[in-house]
Amino acid sequence: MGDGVIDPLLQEFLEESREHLARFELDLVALESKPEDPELLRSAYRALHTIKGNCGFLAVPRLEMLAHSAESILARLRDGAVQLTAPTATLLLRAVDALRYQIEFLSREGTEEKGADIELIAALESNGPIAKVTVTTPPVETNARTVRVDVDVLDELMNLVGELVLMRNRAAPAHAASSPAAPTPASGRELDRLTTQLQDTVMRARMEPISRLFDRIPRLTRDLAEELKKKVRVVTSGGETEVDRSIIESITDPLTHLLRNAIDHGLEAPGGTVHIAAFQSGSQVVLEIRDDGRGMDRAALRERAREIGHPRWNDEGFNALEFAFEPGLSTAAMVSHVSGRGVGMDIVRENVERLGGAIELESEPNEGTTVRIRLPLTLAITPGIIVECGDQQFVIPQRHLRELVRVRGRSSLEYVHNCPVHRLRDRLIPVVLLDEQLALKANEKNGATLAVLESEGRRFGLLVDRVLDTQEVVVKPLGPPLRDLPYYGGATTLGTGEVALILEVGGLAARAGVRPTSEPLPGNEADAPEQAPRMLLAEDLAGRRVVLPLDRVERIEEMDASSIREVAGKPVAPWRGGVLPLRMDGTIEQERVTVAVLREPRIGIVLARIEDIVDAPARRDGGMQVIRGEVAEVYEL
Amino acid sequence: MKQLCTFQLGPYACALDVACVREVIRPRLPTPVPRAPTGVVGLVSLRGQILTAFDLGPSLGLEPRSEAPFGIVVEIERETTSETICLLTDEVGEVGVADPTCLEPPPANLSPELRVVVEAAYRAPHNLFLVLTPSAVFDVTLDSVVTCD
Repeated sequence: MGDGVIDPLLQEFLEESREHLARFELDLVALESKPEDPELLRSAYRALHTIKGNCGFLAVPRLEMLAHSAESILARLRDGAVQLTAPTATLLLRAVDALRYQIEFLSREGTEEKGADIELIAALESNGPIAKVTVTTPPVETNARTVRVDVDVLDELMNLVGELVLMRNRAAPAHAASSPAAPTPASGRELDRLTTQLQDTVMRARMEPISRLFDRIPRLTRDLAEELKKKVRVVTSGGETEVDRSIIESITDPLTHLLRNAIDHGLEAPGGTVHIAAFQSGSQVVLEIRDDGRGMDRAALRERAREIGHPRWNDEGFNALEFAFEPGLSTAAMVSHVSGRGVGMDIVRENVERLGGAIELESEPNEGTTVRIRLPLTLAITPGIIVECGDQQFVIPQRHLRELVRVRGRSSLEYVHNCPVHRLRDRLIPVVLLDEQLALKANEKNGATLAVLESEGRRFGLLVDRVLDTQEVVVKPLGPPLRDLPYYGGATTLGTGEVALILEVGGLAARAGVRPTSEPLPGNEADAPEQAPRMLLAEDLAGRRVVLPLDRVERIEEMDASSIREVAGKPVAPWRGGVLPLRMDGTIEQERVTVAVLREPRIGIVLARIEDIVDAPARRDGGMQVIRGEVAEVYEL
Repeated sequence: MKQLCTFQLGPYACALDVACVREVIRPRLPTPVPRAPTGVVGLVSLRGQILTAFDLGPSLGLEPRSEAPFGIVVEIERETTSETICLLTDEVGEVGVADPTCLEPPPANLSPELRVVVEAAYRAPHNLFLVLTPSAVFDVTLDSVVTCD
């Protein structure tokens, strides 16, 4: 817009019209299976009528004529003068497309497109004479319990809250593992509680029900079914599941691809049913696309894997379904002859992993195929690990981290065909030197650390100087031209207030020439020897994930927070007729706390909650271990 | 009436249409971005928003720098969105209404690099300011070509 100001009246018209149009489209598709439903007819009519009415306030004759012609048909349908037939529905959907096109044109250019939809309007009108119908429309319900908020405003709010959280961390550092933390003053605790609540509330404001995505499915299915000549029934469930809006935008394409695959290859002629379900599971959102077709042909997948020279095509112990994720693999099971485009599962996986999620395939012959996508609840804040290279700090998203290994330095690396590798429990993994990739000067005075990372099927060790800390970071996008750099996936402000770049693990791997592999990581928890020490995995009061050696733990007790006292400046609790000195690394938020009572010396570690008892991984590194995909700190005793 | 914001860039006295200037800041040392194109000094944080800090010096034939006392936060419109960047500068001068009679075509002896970004000259009582073209600024900053070897 020339003067930089967008006409608010026009803006509102565009937003409302988009919504009403979406509503109409949904109603129309539903009407095809229930052509006489009076509620649907009324709703569909009302949507078009409102659009047409709003057109009257602006100079948009082209839109107004389109809306008017479509509305006339709806009026006759609603009054029972005509029946909804498939050709009529298709015609009306074309009107929807035309309206949508004009709305978007108007949004971009500020004026309507020159011209008239002569053919379309003639077709709409020849569906019957346009009778002058007097309509008594019931009043349009206004939803007074919600307001529309500009996305930029929400993002800014999110930004500021993130900064507030960082300021709070700097003003009242929670890490005081070496000594019993002095109880923070009441005002500090209150500030803590309020900031956390504020953060949670703003994050919730960004959540939307996934039904926004599901709403597009009926139309999409109808189009695909027509194109692929199959009868398809789609059942969605869990539309009320809430998901961060950034995820909804990013998951649309993968979902469309998977739906197309399910209809095209999953379902056998003449058709079948596709179930799409969404639900929350822990800190993740799970999206399942299940078809009741013939299932994936494992033999065909193996054969195709053999043809492209996959090293494990013959390995019976290797799950054949994994071959579906190989780039360049396209069997008749994958390429859509109709669209001519192979929508590779490798692309879908790449997109899903880029969002911090994971994808699983399940399939049995004649029992259909299920694709399961897991996504984090929010993209905006993610746990990260801070590493240092050449005196500069970088953040690696924890979801990519598999292990941390301390090494002497690059001198301890082996070389295969001039490529550095590291021997990890008898398997060789490629090593990427971060200093080389970024043209920095590594500082190996105190050795180095190898971060074993995995992304998009590429697994490698990233050699850095050292690992500093773990931190939840608010991910902020980089603008042009930096966003074209393959090494970075964004930036963030650290607790110190400094800006740090977030490494793009997949990009680094690809740049360094690491090839994807479907091999599982050698050893790790599954192979942990029986003598591996058992650890107590817990969350301390400061919210950190910690592990305690189980052989030091005598008992795990639950106590009332109110029974904790202070004696000579140190926290204690009554225990077994005596007094148990305590270690608290934060403030107690709950009424009951869990205390791990250790022996020799006898002390109680106050924890927020116990997560589990785990076998320690084979390697330890400088106070941090990777357990179940996330970093946990070894509790200093 | 156009208003111009004036600032010093090495030896050059420059001016920019104030309509695209959001604010003037005292930036902390920018975080360097390894492998970034020349002209990108690093990243700075402005109340939580992370901005790319650019040094126009190399585009004007000057030596690149790694920090500067001032930063002009500029919002550049392009297509359907706008981008906000931080231009690192030396002294920032006043904002004044531009007297159209003082606007002249750019000096004939400008180096080729300067000619790319300068759209006019403004003859003020004590100074001749080089008025920069916002779209050219955006070409040399946002559209810097990223090369990875």
